[in-house]
Amino acid sequence: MKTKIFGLLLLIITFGSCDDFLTRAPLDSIEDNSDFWNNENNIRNTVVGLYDIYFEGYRIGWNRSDYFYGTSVADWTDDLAQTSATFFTKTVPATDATNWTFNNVRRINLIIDRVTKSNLPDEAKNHWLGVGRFFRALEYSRLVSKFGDVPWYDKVIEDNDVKSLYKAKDPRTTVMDNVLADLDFACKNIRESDGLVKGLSVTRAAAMAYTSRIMLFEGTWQKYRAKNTDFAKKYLTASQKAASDLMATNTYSLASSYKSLTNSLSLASNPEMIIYRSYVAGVLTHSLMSFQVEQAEVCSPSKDLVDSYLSINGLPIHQTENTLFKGDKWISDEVANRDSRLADNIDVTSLKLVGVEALYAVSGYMGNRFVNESVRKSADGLSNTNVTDAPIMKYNEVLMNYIEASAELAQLGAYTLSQTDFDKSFNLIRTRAKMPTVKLEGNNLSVNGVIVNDPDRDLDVPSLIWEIRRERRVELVFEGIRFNDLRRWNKLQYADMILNQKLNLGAWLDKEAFVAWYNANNSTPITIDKLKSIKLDREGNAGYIKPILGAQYLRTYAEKDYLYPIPTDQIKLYKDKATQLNDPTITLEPQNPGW
Amino acid sequence: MSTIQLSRGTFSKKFLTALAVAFLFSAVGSTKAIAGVWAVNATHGISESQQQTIILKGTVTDSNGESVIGASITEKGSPKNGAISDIDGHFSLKLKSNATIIVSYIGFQKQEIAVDGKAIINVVLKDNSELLQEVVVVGYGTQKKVNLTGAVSNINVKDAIASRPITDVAKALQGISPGLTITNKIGGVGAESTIKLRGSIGSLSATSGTSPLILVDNVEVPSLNLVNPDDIESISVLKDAASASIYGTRAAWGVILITTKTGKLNDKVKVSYSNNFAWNTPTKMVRQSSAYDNAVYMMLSAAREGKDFITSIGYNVDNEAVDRMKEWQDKYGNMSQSELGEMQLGRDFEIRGGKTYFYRSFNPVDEFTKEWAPQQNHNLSVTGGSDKTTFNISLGYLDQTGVMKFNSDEYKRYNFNSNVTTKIRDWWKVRANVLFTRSNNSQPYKYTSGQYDAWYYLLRWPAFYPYAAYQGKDFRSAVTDIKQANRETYTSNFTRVNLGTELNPIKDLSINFDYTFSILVDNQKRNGGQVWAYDMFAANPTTAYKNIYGDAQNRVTQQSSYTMSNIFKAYATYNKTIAKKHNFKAMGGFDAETRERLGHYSERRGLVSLDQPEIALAVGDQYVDVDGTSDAYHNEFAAAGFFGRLNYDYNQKYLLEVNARYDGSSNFPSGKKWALFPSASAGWRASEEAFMDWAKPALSNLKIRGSWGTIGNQDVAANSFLSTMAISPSSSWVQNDKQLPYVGSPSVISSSLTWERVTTLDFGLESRFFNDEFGVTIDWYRRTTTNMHSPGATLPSTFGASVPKINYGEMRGDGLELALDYSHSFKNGLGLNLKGTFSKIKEKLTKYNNATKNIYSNYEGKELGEIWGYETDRLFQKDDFNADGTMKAGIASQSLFESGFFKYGPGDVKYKDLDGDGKITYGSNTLEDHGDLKKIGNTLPNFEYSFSIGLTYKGFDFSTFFQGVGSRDLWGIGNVAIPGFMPSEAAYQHQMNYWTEDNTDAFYPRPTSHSWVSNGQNFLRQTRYLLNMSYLRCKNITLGYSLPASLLKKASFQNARIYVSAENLFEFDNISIPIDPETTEDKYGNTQGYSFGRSYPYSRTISFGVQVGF
Repeated sequence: MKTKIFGLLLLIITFGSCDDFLTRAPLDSIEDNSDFWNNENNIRNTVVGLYDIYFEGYRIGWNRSDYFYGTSVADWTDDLAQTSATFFTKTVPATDATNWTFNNVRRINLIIDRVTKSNLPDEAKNHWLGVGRFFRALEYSRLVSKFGDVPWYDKVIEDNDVKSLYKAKDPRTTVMDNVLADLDFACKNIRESDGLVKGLSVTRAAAMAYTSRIMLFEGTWQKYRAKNTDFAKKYLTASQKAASDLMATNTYSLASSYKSLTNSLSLASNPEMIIYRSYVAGVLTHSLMSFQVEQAEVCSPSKDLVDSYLSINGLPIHQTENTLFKGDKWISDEVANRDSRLADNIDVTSLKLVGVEALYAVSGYMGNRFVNESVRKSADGLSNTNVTDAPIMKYNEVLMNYIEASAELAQLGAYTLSQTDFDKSFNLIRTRAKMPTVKLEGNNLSVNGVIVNDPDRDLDVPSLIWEIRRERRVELVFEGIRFNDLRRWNKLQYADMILNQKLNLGAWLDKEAFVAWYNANNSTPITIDKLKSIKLDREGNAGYIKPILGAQYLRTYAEKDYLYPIPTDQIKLYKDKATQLNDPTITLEPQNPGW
Repeated sequence: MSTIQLSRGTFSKKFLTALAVAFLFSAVGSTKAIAGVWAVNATHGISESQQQTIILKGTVTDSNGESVIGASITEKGSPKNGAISDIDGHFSLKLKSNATIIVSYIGFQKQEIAVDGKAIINVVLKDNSELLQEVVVVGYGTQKKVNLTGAVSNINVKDAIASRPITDVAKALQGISPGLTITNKIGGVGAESTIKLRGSIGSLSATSGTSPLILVDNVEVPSLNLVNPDDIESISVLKDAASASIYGTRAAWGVILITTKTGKLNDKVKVSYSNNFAWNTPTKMVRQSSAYDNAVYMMLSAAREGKDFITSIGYNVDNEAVDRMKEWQDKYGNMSQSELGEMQLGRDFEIRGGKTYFYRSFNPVDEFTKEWAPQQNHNLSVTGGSDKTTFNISLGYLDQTGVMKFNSDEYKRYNFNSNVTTKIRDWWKVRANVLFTRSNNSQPYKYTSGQYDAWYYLLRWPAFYPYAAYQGKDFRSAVTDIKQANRETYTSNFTRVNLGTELNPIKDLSINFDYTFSILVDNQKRNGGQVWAYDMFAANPTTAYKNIYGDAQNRVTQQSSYTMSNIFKAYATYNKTIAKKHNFKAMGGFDAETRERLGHYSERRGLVSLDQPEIALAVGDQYVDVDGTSDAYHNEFAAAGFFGRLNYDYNQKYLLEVNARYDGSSNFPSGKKWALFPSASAGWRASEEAFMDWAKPALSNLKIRGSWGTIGNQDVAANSFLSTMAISPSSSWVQNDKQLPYVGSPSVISSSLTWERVTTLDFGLESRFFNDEFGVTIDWYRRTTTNMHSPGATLPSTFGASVPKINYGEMRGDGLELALDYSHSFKNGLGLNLKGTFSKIKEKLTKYNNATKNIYSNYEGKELGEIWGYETDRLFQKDDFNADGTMKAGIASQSLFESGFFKYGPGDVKYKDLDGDGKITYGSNTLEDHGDLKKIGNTLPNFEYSFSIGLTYKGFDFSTFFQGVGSRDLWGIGNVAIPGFMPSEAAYQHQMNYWTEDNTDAFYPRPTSHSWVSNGQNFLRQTRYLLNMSYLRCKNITLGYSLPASLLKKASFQNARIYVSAENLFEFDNISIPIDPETTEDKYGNTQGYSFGRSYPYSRTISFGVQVGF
């Protein structure tokens, strides 16, 4: 009997010493371990989580995107007159988890780290490393664009790694050199296709297209803001090369319809889409179109934007040789004989005036770039259930990047422009818009033998560059890139409502003439009283619509607006740490200029 | 009955053995874990009597008239001359006629009776359960109460539970043991109580709350609701770490130790039956004001926004409507709803200018709920024992009905508990125990996504909301929903099977092995359908008769889950006494447990037939998961531990206990799985010292004890130690018309994270006076949760993630507990029993990383539960303002809280400018700069108390029990607490005392809209409208009568008692609104808690019952 008992006791001890018994892996969640990362499909699923961060498109539901208006990036331009101005940030925020955040740096570095350690074959490994470094380049170009100098991290930082966590800012050019290295790697190693649907995943072409965008930004920033010619040349060359390499693949071409880029129910077969976002009823929908068909436009195309459209002869409206421009005193005159893209962007049938129309536009010009008439009245085009696909990276931008980078390089003496450069980029876009092509004549462009020379031109800007910028603005309007264009050209004053008077102006309105016209064309007559809330830029009943009267309500810019301020809590945190460790090198300062 | 009685005489042995074997080896059979340890062995050997003069005969019974078997009757001075009472309590003893007998039996007070020549002496033994010889169940064993060194509270089950119409053990424990806090989120049938021991918070990171571990027969049960109150033999509450630590990590927040009834050796078979019939009625309910009053209120509120109308779902109010409601009230106000009949256009409502106006007044709570909801409870048990085998089998049935008048909710519970222990050899016992509980909660399908119960909606709308039909069809309402609803049921089945054995290889050594398998299976089936009604969301409801909930609710959902556990325990106990003075007790053992949980959810829409709501008979879309919930899960857990305890006492005077537990848990990563948690306690029975003799007999016992112990808390957020990656089926990135799935970034964990530790230091003093009649127990303790998982020091944004939790925080609870009892039997037979308890605890955050110290977040030094608010000065009056409406000079500006239409004016609330800066502000809401804010109260109960009075006299027993909370505050939210929270909805009777120019002395301010905000404008958190939730409540009054033994004999009953009882009969409180004082701020119904004061009511209960034993 006693033997039995001791036997049992022995059993207990054996049982108890078993540590495996207490090892229970989670059954319904995934652990971050090598098994997971050795599987390409898992990596793909992890990367997909980054798509809606970097390829926002029209965003989701009622969330506003940078397209058209409704976010500061979309509003801080010279394209939109506004009922009340969207001001630049005025004060340094105490905390800023939206802009000064390194969450995605960590997230991407983690993917890069795990892929590096995985046992994938080299080709696959390099592809996913390329994808990871592509996203890191996107994230760092965002940070640099907003803050200038930022600390560069290429690995995941542990919570106890004080030295790295509190490291000082790296010079902007150091960071951008790293970004360029990431992009170079991405352009070389990302697969041409990753098995996912074309246009809906990161491909080598996408890496090239983004390289052309990011390096154009940095090249021109270095040229115009930082005034650093060497870096300007380096980055502009990279931009030009990436665009040129992509163009040379002949994989993409311009779609026949300009409007189709922004109002198609599906962009799947659009030859211009390098990356787009797909929306499907009941699966994922947006509300961008609804803002142009269901709601009054409290931000709508400014006089400044409308005036930038050329006449169909290819000449600026106020150039003396332009005989086609019929003046702007009546909407149908104003839009007559203009670049077809004007009618693609605004409703040119009539002015949409507050007090008269339920769906009015503050400037009188009703923007409609995103309207698909076939679904204007159905759920697919209303509310937050819009299903039009969003273009994110298009070939037309690559062409515009190419010509601008080439022209800027030429300005710096690092490249010689040729007619071919225009013919394979700029003129393709002109042709689609049914506009005359341009000829390079020395430092100028000509159309049909007439040298283009816009009397409204900013005299700081050479005519050739001016025309390239005009083309870019007209072609890519309301796509959320204008604000960054103004910054990199050192031209934020264009978005200043006092310096740029035309920004706070709308269409010409002769109230009496309008009432007469309206009553002749509508069954329910109105009186001039209906128009009393519309303010004009001069006394009397005729003048340009002026949405904001008081100077104190106008957006003005200051030099500091070129960069965002670093939040004060972070600066203090570094200071406290410096005191605590008695290490004066720990600092986030200097704060960005002017803040 | 007679057959069973027969059986015990003739073939009881065979019967019992057969029963035992059947139980042990059938699938159903099973046993009792440790009851054997303290089962009383009553077979003493007593030598024959000596020289005799007379033969004394008699019967020994207990106070219930039940015969006491095995009581020892000895002659005083000749302890060898004695007898043992037999199975009927009879004894006979030869002794001298002038002798004195001593009658004793474990658990009863020893009695000395002079024979005085009598030939028959019937002895009634008095219960000794409160007294010193009492044996208390502790972890893995028992301990004499006098020798306890830890803070263990032993609950008198008979007083606390037996005669009360209690359906839930937790409710019976409320106020019984100091330090134990029981709260109920809502009333309602089958509702779970929240149980906390020594503090409400404990740890900020504990995910499943810091409730004590509940062990039934040494094995955990998921809920006290699964235990039939009638089955309980004893309850011990292990409060300090030293007592609880033997159970390891899950005992960090204390242990409630329940043992169930067992049979006794050599006991006759006894059948007991008891029942209880009860009726429940709501304690307190808010009531809508009349249609007219409500409309006036609405218009006053609207006027402040410059409006002269109110529009809400389907109804409108304007000044004409107010007049029409007045007319209606004057003309029809006295008619009953049945006299009024259907809604009549023109009389009860009308349509003007395309809008619908309602005039008829209803009182939905009174019209659609029962005043008294019935409940019944039946228990049957059979218990007994032979010389080798004991058994107990019990059955319980509970049926509660809810308060809705139709389609009422219903709760049913079935309990089965059985245990058998048998001796196979002298040294080998085997036991089996089976526990089965099934509960079924059935109620009408909750259409409004199950978010709210009907009470919210019954009370949400004003009295003019239409509840009567119009042209034979109903309007959309909570009542219409319920009337047309299918049922939804929630069923829970808990089965637990235990097999155990005890070996006694040598004297004083016992070795126990127990294996327990338990499975809890929960099923929920919700049968949706359609509700046809006039849609009150339409501008003109009467033209919009339709299926108002559409396809999404035309569905069946089934959700099921199980929790399965395997528990193995082995432990050995060895007792040794050396030189009659040194008493050693050693216990050592091992336990291991695995637990697996699995749950899933299915839903299918499109019922083919509304009468057959089954997934198999639905044809629409199907779902297996609901957004944002985790109905589908699968996880497992394992724990193991080695434990040991050493007790030593010297002559029962100096007491020492040392515990250690080496615990392992699968919740921790490799290398940190195991941790050692030691504890120790010591006691000194000063009253046993010779130098204390002077104090006797006034001081019968005095013990000073102290304990210290630490327990690891393993209940930390899931995967705290593991970097896991979230999986989502929807990445918001669409390809081929479907969203791609995605995997999130791995969670960030700190590599240094480890266990939380809960340490309790406890000092106690136990004393008894006047022959043990009066007792005082005092405990002071400090419970400190150290290494609490809390945010690490702030890291710069460059870290790229939120700061991972580290072992930094520290929380401390300081408490005091006091228990008093007094019992006395008067010569005339009157028995008196008084008890009182008092407890107090304050919990504080003593360490926490939070540099800004925002007063609404956690910060170092924060007292848990604190409420920050303004001090109310008074209501503004007209003369505080200038003619142009601006505030007169010298009055602190409150413009910070003005917005839109709202500007402070006469009748609004004036706050005190505590910092004297001429304006009312909140500074930066931080501890350093909080403007005029101050701590105005605390939501946690500050001190709790209870007292009870028991009286017995000649078969009658009376007891009453009061429980109270000394201080607790609550900032009420939603329309009930904040008048004008949503002025287009109901205003309540209690809110009608509001400021007008004619009622400047009102309690409530001038009506205004607070637009869904419970902390703004006139109702910023403040002293004036803070709810004082302290109360003293008569929890129970019971009057019972036990039939005298003589009568019982004839009817072959052993005992019989009838009683009437009332629960929650009345209370004293000081709450400014009509809600039950036990209402918690639990956000039942929705996350904002707007249903505060409008959820299932708490009940008063009256009942009667019978308890008989055969």
